[in-house]
Amino acid sequence: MFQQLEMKSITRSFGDYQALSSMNLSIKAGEFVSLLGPSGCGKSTALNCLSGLLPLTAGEIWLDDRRIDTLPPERRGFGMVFQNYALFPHMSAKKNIRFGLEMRKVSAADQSRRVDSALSLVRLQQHADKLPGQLSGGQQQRVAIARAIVIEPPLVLMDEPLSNLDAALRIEMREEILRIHQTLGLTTIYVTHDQDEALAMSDRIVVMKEGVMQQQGAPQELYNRPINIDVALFMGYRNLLDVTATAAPRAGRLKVSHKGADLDATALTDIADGPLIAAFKPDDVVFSDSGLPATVDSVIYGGRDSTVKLDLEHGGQIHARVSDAVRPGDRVHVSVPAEHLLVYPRPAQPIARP
Amino acid sequence: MTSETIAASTASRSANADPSTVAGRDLRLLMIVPGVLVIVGLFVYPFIYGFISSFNPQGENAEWLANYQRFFSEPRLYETVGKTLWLALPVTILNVGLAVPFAFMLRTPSRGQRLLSTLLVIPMTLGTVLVAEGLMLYLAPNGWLNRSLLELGLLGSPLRLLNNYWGVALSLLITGFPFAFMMMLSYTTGIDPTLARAAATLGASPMEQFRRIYLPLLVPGLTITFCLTFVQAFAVFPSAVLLGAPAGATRVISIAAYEMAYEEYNWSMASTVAMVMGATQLVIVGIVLGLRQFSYRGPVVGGKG
Amino acid sequence: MDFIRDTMLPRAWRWFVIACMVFFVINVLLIIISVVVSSFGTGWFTGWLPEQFTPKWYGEAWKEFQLQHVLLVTVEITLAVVAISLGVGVPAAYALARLQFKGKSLIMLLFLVPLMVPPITYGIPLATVLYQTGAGGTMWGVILANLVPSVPFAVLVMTPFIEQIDPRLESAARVFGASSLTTFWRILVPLLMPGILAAGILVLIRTISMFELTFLTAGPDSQTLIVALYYSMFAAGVRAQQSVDAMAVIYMLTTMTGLLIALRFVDPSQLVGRVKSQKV
Repeated sequence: MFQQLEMKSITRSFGDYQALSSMNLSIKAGEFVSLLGPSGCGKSTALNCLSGLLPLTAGEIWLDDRRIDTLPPERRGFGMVFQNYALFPHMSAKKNIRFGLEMRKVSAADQSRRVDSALSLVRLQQHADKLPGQLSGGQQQRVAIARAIVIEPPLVLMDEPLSNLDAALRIEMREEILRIHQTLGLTTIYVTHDQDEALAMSDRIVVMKEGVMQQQGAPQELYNRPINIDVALFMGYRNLLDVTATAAPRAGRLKVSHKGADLDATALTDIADGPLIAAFKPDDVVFSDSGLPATVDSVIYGGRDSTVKLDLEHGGQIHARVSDAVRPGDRVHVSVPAEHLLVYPRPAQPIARP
Repeated sequence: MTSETIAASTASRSANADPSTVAGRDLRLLMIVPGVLVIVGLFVYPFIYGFISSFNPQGENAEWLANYQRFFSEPRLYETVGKTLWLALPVTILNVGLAVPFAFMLRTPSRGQRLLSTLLVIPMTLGTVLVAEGLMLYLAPNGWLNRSLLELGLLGSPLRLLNNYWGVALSLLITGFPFAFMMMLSYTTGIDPTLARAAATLGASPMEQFRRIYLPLLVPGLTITFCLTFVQAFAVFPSAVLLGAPAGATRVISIAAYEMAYEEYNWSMASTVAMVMGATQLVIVGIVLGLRQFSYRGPVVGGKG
Repeated sequence: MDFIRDTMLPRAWRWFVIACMVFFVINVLLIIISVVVSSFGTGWFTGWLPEQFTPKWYGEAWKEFQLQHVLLVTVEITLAVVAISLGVGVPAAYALARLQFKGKSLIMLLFLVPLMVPPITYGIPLATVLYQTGAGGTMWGVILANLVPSVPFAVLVMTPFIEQIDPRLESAARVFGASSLTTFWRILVPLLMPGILAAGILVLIRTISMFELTFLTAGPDSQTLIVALYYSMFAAGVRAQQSVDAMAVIYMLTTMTGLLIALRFVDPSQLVGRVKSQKV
C-alpha cells in the first residue's frame, strides 16, 4: 500500500479552455475525499487525470516516491466506478468482477476466492451469474463497485456513482459505499455535485469551481467556515444581503450595515474596503424581539420545522427554517447570530446560485 | 390549449369516433398497401414463379428435376459455384477482416473520419461497371499501377492483373471494402467507449481491451456485415465479364444464368441457375448466422445512460 | 466526455491504419482519373500521360453511342422510378413508422429482403415474368424492375425522418377537423420535405447506377447510360477506347452531381447504419 498521494499543480486544458487549473492536493491512505462542485467545475477532469484516462497538460502526480502521471491507466491499478457503471454487457456479474483479476494474472483459485468475497461484500451472491441487463440499477452499481475493489487498488475513484439511482436507493448506497470503504480500509476519491452526499460521506471535501480548487477541509469546516461566497453558496448559505462595513474591515467580528440597519457579522478572511455581501443559512435565522423587522410571505410546513419566506422591511427577501408557528402576513423580527452571518467581498458580476 | 390537452382530447376522440377508423381498423394502414403490392408483385411472385418454373424444364417429356440434373452434371455449369465462391469468400474475408480493425482505429468522431467516409462512398456510388472501366486502364500493363511499380524498381516486368482472377478480385475489393468499412464503423461507434476505459482501469492493455471487450460485442455486427458483403460479392457480374476471364477462371454463376436466359433462351434453366445461386447464398448466410448463436447478443452499453 | 483520450490507440497503429486508408482512397481516385485522362487523350500507349489532349472524343461518343437518346431514356426512366418510389414509399414509411399492427415485422422483412438480395439473383426470374407479360424490353419493364430495390430504399430512408416528427402535431391538426388525408398533405408532406428530397436524390443515384436489373430487362430502345456503357465496353475494339472513356466520364458526372447534392442532406454512415439496425 502507500502513504500519500500527491497532486502537484496538475493542469488540463482542451485548446484554450482550462478544465483544471493547477490543482494541488495530497491524500493520505485511508481517507475518503470528495470532489464537490457543479457540472463543468473540473471535478471529473481531475478524476480522469488521476485514473490516467486523460493525460495531464502540466503538473505531476506522485504515489509516495513513484511518479505515476506518465503511466497509462492499465498500469496505474486504481479502481474506478463510472457514472453509467460501464459494466461489460456480455459478461455475467461474476465475470465482470473477475476481469481485473484475470488481467493481473491472479491464479484461478485465488480469483474464485476473491470474486466470492467481493460478491458477498456487496451482497450479490445469488445474482452472480446474471448479465448486467438482468440486474436492477442498484445491483449494477454494486457489481461496478465490487469490480473496482476486487483488485485491491491503492485508490478507488468514483465518478458520481449514485447520480443514476432514485432518491431512496441513493441514501442506501451511500451507507453501502461507506461500509465497504471502512471494512476494507480503502482510500476513496469521490466525485459528486450533491453537497448532502459529500457532507454525509467524506473525511475531507474539496470544493471546485471553473477548474479551480476553492477550499478543502473537513465537512464541518466547510459547512461552518466557507472561505468565499462561492463555497458558501454551495454549502447552503442561500440568504444574501448587500451590506457595507461601518468600520475599517478586517478579519474577525465586525459591524456592517444593511440599508441603515446595523448587524453584527464575522469575516473569515481579511477583506478590503468596498461593497460587501453577507451570507447566512436559513437554519441560522432566529425570530427575536429585536433585529430586522419583516413580514411573513409564505410558509412551507415541513414537520419538525417550516421553511418561511420573509420580506424584509429594509428590502430584500430571505428564507428561514424555524420551528415557530407563523402565518403569512405576520410581522416578525429576525436576527442571525454574528458567528453565522458571514461577510465576503461583493463580486462584480451578479451571483449565480447553484 | 396546451399540447397535453390536445393529446388527451385526441386520445378520447380516437376512442370514440375517429373519422379515420372503420370498425376499429385504422384506415391509415391502407397507406402501406401500394408498397406491399409492388414488392409482392415484382419480387415475391417472380421468385415463386422462377422456383416453380425451374421444375418445369423446357422440351418434351423432361423430368421435373431435369434442369437440376443438367446443372450438376455439366462442368461448365456446376463449376461456376466453386469459381464464384473462390472469388467471393476470400475477398469478403479480406474486406471484413480489414474493415474491423480500420473501423476500430477510426471510431472516434473527427473531421477526418467524415471526409474519409465521404470519399469511400464514391466507389460505392459509381458502381461496378465504372470501376471496371477504370481498372481496365489502371491495371493495364502500361497503366499507372504497373508503371509506378516498375519505376520504383519493385518489379522487373509488369504484373498481369487483367482478364484473370486478380482483376475481378480487385474490383470486388474496391466496391466491397467501403461498404464493409462503413457498416463496421457504425457498429463500432455504437459501443459505449466507457467500457474500454473501465477495462483499462482494470489493467487491460489496448490489445486486451479490443479482444475481450470490443470483439465480443462486435460479433453480431460482424456477421451481418459479412453476410451482406458476401452476398454482394457472390453476385459479381459485370466486372467478371469485363476484367476477368469469363470463359475461364472467373466464369461466375451469374454469367451462367445470363447465358441460359439470353443466349440459349432457356428461361426455365436460367431460373434454375438463379435458384442455385440464391440457395448457395442462403447456405453461407445460414452457416454464418448459425455461428453467431454462440456469441453474446444484446445491448452494447454498460448500464443506464 | 468527448474530450477523453482514447485509451486504446497506440499511435503507430493509428498512423498505419490511416496510411492504409489514404492509400486505398488514392488508388480509387487514380482509377477514376485514369478514365478522365484517357477520355481527353489522342493515344496512350507508353508514358505517364497521353501524347496529346483533345476534346474530340466527347463529340464522337455523343454521335456514335447516340447519347442524346440514351440520356433521354435515362432521365425518363429515372424520374419515373423516383416519382413512383416516393409516391408508394412515403405512405408506406409513414404507416411503418407510426402504426402498430399485426404482421408488422413480416412487412418490415418484406421491405428489407429486396435490399439485401443482390439484383442479379432475383433479376432473372423477374425478367422472365416481365417478358411473359410483354413488359420486358420496354421502358415500363425497366421502370418496374427498378422499383423492386427503390421502393424499400425510399421506405428505409424516410422512416427516421417520419419518426422525428412529433405525432402530437398530427393530433393537433385532426382535433381542428382535418381528415387523415388532409393531415398527410397539409401537415406531414411539408414537414417531410427534406426527407423526401433526400430519399428522392438517393433513389435517383441508385437508379442511374443500377446496372444489373436494367441490363436484364432493357431492350435496344430502353437502355440507360450505364447499360449502354457496359455494351460499349463489352464490344471493346469496335470503337475507340477513348470514346468509351468519354461516355464513362459523362456517366460519372451525372452520378457524382447527384451524390454531391445528396451528401448535403444525409450522412452516408447513418444510411448504412440504418440497414444494420434493422433485424435480419
